Amino acid sequence: MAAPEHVPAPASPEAPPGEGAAQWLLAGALGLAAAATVGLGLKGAPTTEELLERARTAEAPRTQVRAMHALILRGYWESRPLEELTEHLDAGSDEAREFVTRMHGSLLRPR
Amino acid sequence: MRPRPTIEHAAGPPVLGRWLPTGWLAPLLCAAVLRGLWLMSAAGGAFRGDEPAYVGLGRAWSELGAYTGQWPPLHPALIAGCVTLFGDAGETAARVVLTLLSVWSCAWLMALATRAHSERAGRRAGWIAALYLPLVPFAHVLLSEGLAIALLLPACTLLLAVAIGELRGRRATAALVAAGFAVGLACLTKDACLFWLGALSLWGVVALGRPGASGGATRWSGGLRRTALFVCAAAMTVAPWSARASADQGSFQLLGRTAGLNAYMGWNRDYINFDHVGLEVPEAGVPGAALRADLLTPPPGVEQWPFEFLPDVAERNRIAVATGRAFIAAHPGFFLRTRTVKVADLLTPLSYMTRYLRMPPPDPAASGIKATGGYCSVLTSRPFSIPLTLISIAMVVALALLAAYGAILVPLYPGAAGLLCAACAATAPLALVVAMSRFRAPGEALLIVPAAAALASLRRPPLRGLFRRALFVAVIGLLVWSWTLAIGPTLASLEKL
Repeated sequence: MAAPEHVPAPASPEAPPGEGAAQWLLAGALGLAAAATVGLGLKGAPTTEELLERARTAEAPRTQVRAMHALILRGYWESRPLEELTEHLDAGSDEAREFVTRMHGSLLRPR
Repeated sequence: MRPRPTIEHAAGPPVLGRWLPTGWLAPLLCAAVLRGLWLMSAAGGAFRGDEPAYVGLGRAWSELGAYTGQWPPLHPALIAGCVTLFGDAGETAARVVLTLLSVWSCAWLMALATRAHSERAGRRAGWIAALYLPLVPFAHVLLSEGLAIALLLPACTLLLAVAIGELRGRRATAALVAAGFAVGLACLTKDACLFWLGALSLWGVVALGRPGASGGATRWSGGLRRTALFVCAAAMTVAPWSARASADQGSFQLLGRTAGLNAYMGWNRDYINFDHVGLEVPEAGVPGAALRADLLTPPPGVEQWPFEFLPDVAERNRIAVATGRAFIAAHPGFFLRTRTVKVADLLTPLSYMTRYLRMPPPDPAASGIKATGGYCSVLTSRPFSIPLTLISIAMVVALALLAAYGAILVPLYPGAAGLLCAACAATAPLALVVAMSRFRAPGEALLIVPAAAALASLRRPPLRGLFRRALFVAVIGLLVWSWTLAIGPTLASLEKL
């Protein structure tokens, strides 16, 4: 016997009409949107040269920081002389310089 | 003849119009008070472990305007938001938010246990969640586990509500999308939540295809459809971050970029477990110690494979994973042997509570490390730390035993037992890489559900059946084996107090 705290619900195992189609449509739309978003991200990936340009001249400091971060992720500065990096930082914003000093201080040591 | 044990709600799913019954207030209040006390005991700044790195990323994001980490971004985003709003007090604010999220998780555990078994089990789950010390550090130490738990538990509850037929029609559709959204956000908090997405999807194909709570035959098309909706909602949640990470890297990146480091640590000769930081684990003299040492001893000639520090992070990750796989292929016997210890590491009675109780706040001048925080001198003094450590160890053991009993020998709603299997399946792969108590935290939280069901059914006879009994004995055997291997580290932890 069911405990008093559990009131049996009316059994209605069948899905409401149209629910299946709506769920398939929604799933398809979400899946397509996800694939398109990632595809656009990949297609719009900037080249190393574009990132260098952004890291040096972008008006928004946060764009410079993000471009510097992308260059570091791609290993660009690891293969460059230290002087080139310091020159680049001197030409950039305070935020970009602060970012490299604070988060990637090892790049600034002699390699 | 003994009466056949019946589930209290065998006649159908419970009508749960009240999502916050009055009986829940006391455990939630208790959870808030206990977590508040521990929050006030967190002194001196960031705790040892990954917390200084998370805090650094959050602060940098707030101050420099862009996220520059290699972990998924959601947890640093929480810290960054708090720093932006509260400035110097941002870390404290983030700890308070995590504490509130932990109380929120307790409420969802009650909702989940109510749907898995009964309202009585729901209340028991609330009390267990409120008082379970091993998970308390994740309520204020700024690690990502607390946020991941707070996202996974609502997702599991919503999925189970659909599986048992409580939510139907448009409400079911909305619940599936919300569950996918929550799991997607959990993946944006921790890479390892992808295992949850996979395990819940497999479970969903079966459980979400059942017609309501009757436990009738599975309709695969219905299960596939609902699972597809759940997965696509999760994918859509993750996609913007994947797009951004891929654009920055120049190649496809799903979530974080630290898989290579884990592969390097987990698939190599040297043994690493961060639960044992600062411990001198005995290799003989206590039960299981010699066996543990033998299992971890590499065969002659096996060297530590080096980490190739390639400049490109994605390439570095790919090579590190490939190197780890090559190590496994070269030493399959050693790899399998060490996995037995990793399983024991995952099931260890130790926890981050015992870890932090034995570590007073470090002196930054003396240690030279970034972490300066820890529990206050009262909590880490022997009159407090010894009993609290013993209680924490006993709680892990008791929860595991009760959860095994509840999951296997107590009748749960159709779908609930499978959900627990999915949680275990999502946690188990960690033993293949790097295992420690912190990584099991989301699965550990979910184990409170069957433990509560067990406590709510103590006066009822257990389920019969040879398979169930054999499975229960096997699980208890695995736990005892694991805890035998953990005696050495546990004693070493106690000696440090």
